Amino acid sequence: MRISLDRLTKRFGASVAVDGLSLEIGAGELVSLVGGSGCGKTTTLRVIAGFERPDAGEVRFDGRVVNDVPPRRRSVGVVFQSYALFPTMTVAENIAFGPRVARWPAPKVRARVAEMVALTHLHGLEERYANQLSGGQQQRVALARALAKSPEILLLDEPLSALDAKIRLRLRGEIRKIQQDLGITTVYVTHDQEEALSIADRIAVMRKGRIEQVGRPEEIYARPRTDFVADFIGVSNLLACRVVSARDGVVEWEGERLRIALNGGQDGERVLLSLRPEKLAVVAERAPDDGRNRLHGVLEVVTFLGPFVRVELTVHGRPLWADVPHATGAILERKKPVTLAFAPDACVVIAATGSEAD
Amino acid sequence: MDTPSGAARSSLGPPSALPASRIPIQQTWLTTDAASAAAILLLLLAFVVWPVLRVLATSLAGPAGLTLGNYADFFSSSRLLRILVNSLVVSAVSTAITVAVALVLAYSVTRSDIPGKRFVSLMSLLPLISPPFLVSLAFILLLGRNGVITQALHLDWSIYGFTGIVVSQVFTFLPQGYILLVNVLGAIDVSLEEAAENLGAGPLTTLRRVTLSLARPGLASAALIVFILCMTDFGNPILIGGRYNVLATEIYAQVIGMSNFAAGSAMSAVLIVPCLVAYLVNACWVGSQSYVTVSAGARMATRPMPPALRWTLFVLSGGVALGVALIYALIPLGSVVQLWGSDWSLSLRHYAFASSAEGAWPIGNSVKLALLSGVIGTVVALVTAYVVERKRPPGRRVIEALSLLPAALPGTVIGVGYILAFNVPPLLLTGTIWILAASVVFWKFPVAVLAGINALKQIDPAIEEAAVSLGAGSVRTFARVVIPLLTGAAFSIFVYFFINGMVTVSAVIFLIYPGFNLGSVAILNQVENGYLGAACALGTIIIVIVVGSVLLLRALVGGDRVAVLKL
Repeated sequence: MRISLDRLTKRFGASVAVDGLSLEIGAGELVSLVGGSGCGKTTTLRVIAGFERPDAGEVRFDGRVVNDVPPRRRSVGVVFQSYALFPTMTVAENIAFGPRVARWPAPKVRARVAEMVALTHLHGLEERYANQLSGGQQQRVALARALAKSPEILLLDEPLSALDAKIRLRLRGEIRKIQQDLGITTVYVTHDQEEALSIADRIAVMRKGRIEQVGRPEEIYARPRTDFVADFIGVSNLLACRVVSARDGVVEWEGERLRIALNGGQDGERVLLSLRPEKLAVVAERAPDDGRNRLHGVLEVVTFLGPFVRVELTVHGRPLWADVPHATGAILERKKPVTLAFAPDACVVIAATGSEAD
Repeated sequence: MDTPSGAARSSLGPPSALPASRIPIQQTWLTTDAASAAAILLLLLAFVVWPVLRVLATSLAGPAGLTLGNYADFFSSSRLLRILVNSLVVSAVSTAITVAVALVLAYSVTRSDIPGKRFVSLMSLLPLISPPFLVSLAFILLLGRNGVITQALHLDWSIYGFTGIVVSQVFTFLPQGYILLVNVLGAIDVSLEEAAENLGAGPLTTLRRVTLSLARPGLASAALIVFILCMTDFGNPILIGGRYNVLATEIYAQVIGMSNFAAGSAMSAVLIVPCLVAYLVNACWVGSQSYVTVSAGARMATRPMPPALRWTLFVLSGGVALGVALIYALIPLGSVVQLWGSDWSLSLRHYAFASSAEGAWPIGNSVKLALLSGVIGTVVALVTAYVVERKRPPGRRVIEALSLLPAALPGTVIGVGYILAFNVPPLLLTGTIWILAASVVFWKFPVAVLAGINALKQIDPAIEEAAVSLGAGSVRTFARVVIPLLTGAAFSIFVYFFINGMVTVSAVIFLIYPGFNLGSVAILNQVENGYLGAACALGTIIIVIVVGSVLLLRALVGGDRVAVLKL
């Protein structure tokens, strides 16, 4: 089932939670709404579920406007952030709740519960109560319950935020697998950009009730369109530059001339560059010119991150991050001068420079 | 460890000085804690356990030593058995209605978006701040022998008796049920109801299978607590009970009317049993039944509901709220009418209190008692809460249990017990204001201690540990660090004791002495003598004083820091 959100607006008193938001979600697609707290992602999800009525705009399922359809008639399954398992009922009763309320015949309900238990690997836990389950198990019950009535849309509100890092990783994979097996249209709300990148077909980065950018994960990561997206998704060095020569692709940053891949633009125009830390390499101070840009800085902090080392440097008084392999040698000492290199096509020019970085 | 010689170590200075200075601190610490725990235990033994034991002993005492004769008398008298059954029946009926009404009000306020929610909430709490029997007085004004409605409709029926007690108790104990159920419903994560709705359940299915199912332990708890309050209620039955006698009033008649302490004590013991059973069932069984909140954070929000349900809730809760408002409007109205039921012209003559020699003095005594109880009660309750919650001495469970026990004790039993326990040395307190203050403080102790414990639980223990690690002793930590953080709780507890000192009647009616009557008891006297106008005038003054002092305290210490405590 397709979901169309058309210029949705939702206000709570004076504050605008969702501000004219439009988004198309294809059948069977998993779209992740990602953003900081208060960006309107959960409200958007609750509008789709029918818990909140939009003040303006339309929600359409397969082209049919559902603004006035109550939640229980929407064929939408919701996994709540708190799981919201009924503590008075067992696992099996929780899963059976939807089918029973819909007056499915008892044998069919039983079969469905068994099917859901198998799907979410809950064997042997059917007669337990929610408070006798681990967080990960509760999460599975919540998912099984949401899917029991074979809804056409699945909505997940921060489903993994209460779990340990390890279990989070495993469940993330399981949710994705179930979603793809069932081919169910899914909206996945999270504040964790890494989770969004790993699970979604497409990501909608939200800020202040609007969508800042929509796209496939690799697109969002490689080509952030605003400084907010560049900063929020992954780690980014943001360089405020002035175009020296649009034709030759030369910009000036802190008095330093850099060659970059510019598409259009005018001389003297101000642009913001996003430079991912992994695009920066540490090179010997007198390495021969290989066409890459060179920056000279002073090393401030070295952080070991497992597969690589993240170094923070000061270049022309500005902090820069660079991710480098361990085997760079003995140069990684605090307050030592370091030379960085990056290729002209390593930067992304961010069109919008109006928004303040926050 | 022992290689460096003493001389070598002491030359280093600070390292050796540290352990030396630490030990004495640790010791004073322990002794202060032990002393305060022992002092509190002693107070509880003297003012809670000893009076109850004296009641039991008196009930078992006969001319020839130990006897069960008093109980045999009780259970062989059909009149007294009738009274016991009356008590149980009227309490059960009042409880059922009170909890049902409180549930509707609590559900309306926590879940619906009906207009006038603030008014409903305010009216639901109003009976907390008045003498517990003013509701009866109002119903007498409406439906008594000279009541407005009785006269207007020329009824030869009046409300005295079973009906009167039930309606009065419903309105009197509504706040307690309401507060408990608001907390119960408020603690239910709205996501659960949304989940049910998302899974296809309609509003009524959701209400039945999710909301009420989760609230069941809370409802049981509310029912048991209201049942205790109804069983122990003294003011309403004595005013409006007519010939429908209950145990609480019969005890008063036996002890004060006939000075028959043996029979009164046996009845007291009989009255304690159902109260104690209800209390223990609530504390032990219902407590273990309550559903642990599984969710990360419970959200409380109004839910959209079908108009039919919404309007039903609006009419029901609005009606009850208006009923409470009417009841409390009748009291001041009754005080300014020349003669209720026959001469409706306005007059302030009742405020002269010509009908009684003591005039308005009992109110002054009430204020004195309320202030005294407030100060003593706040200090003792806070220290007890601190010792129980933070110091955890060996006897902590005993202290906690004894602090909460009075919640199961009828005020009449406290009254009888205090007479029996404190009319002989070494604690010869009868005939002084101290016995009255002690009865208010220790009878109303459970709620105050629980409030103190809850307030302490909000404070990170690390704050105290920081003070101790910086060298502060136990007393200093309590005075300089804990007390300032407890200001809000302290004022709430003070207000709670103050209100109870102003309005309580069932225990103190046994303990007042010639020349020292109390406002609440004076109201009873006036009603008994047929001076309804003077009773209303006294009631009005008490309400004004209570509301005025609550508002004054709120203005002084700031808004919501002073909460009117439950129970």
